[in-house]
Amino acid sequence: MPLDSDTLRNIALSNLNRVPPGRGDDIGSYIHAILVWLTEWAVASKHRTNITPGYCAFVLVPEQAKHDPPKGAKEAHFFKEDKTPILGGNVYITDYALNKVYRYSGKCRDLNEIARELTKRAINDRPFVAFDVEAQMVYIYASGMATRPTSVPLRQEIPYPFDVDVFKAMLDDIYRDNLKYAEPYPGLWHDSRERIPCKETELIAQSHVCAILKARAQGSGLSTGKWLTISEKKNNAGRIDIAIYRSEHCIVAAEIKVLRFRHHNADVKKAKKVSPKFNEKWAKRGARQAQRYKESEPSDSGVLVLYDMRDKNKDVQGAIDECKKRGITYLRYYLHNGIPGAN
Amino acid sequence: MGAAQKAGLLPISKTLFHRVIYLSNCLAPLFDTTPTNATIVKYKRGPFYPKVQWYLDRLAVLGILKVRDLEYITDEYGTWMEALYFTNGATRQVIETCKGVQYGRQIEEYLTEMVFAVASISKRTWKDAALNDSTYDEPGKTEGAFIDFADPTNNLSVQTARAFQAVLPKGFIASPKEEMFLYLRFLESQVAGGTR
Repeated sequence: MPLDSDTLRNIALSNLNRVPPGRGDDIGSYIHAILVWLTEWAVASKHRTNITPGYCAFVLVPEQAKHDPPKGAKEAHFFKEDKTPILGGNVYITDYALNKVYRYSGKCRDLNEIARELTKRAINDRPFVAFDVEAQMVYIYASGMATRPTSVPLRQEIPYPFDVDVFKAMLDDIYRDNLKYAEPYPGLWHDSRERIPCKETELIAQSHVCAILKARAQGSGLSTGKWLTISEKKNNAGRIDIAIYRSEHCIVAAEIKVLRFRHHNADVKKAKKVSPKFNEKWAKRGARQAQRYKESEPSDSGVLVLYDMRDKNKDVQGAIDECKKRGITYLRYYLHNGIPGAN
Repeated sequence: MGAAQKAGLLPISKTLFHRVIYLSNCLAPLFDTTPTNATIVKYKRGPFYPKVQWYLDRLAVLGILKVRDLEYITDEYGTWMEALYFTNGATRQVIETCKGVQYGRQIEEYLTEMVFAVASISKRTWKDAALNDSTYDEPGKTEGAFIDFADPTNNLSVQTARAFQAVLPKGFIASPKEEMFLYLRFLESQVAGGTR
């Protein structure tokens, strides 16, 4: 039977953003699944008037899935599919894929009440995602309540047409909400005090940024699923870190580079310093890569994204000049190595 | 079974269990994995492996798997036993032991991806997805037909999964996992579209 390519294209473009970034039973994939579900929920909710306000939480307790509902909870059948409007106030116990979901009906009005509820149920050490239904703000607690949350806003409308300025605004959001200060998730620092980055910093930054962009693309009104975020896209010039497409047309080809104060080393004393010259060379190389990607794709725009983990918050003039010369957008985000106010 | 628990598929019905195994056999070449069984007889109740059922029951009797809601039904196809299977502490020990060897780890890796691909589609379509599989549902294959997908040219499921590559933006190389997830979405749309 000949395959209908329109059907395949539709399925591919509507679902590629949903494919989990890692193994299905990986915490990153769980967070991705929740973010995708919530963005789709947010879209569905635009036309509803019966949304219950408050905060809700999705708690990962996969071993609960094979049992009957825990005391005081009820199974939420077809939760993944049905996008219930009665979300606010509740605590949900879920597996990794949101198939077995148990609901504790509650009246949680803020994060404190969520925390109290989870403590009462003795599940406060589990990874969970809290959601403010009205503000549509997501709080990710990847290692339970003991760590500071990473917040991701869902509600902002994504302007149309999508161009490099929109991309920049989205990166600004991700920076402000997740990356600016040393956060346990996505955990870019191995030792923030000593300014030692984690292993494979660029890869982790890339997958975190992509996971959020993909989640926001999925089900967003702008895209109706046709806006694609692709990481590691292969073309003649190499692999593009982040490529954004709409209707199969590449809008942005971005290269991510991390500027370091020290190289990664598990032993703090052995972590070697990175010279300013090396950082500049690294950034300029990124600008050249972005230009090559832009031309070979071809893409409307090429972007160099620098995540700056150095000790001084200072622009890299050589990279700015290189970007200007090559028609590339230069973006630099300085990552503070402490909590707000520490730097 | 370990992955099925994490993905919320447990307790899993006998019917669904066999269908997931069938899909995992069919799509194994995507991951360069050898299917445990590349042949099946098209059965009136959908994909079914008598040998697997024998092992499943044996494991249940040994206490390595748990079984509940056992029932015998009689319908237009004859008599049939249906049950729900789930894991216990012994299952986890067996899984951990299997993961101690390279082959076990590889299989676990693949089956985890497979089960999560099934788990990602609507629960309402889980059971019928395998019935709409391109190989199983190939026109002309009637009940009792011998389906042999050992030869890649006969494995229409893998061919369909790989066909997604042609409709994606040029230069984007879909990973085996992406092909598998998209193929399951394809089956989901077939079920939802009422092709069966």
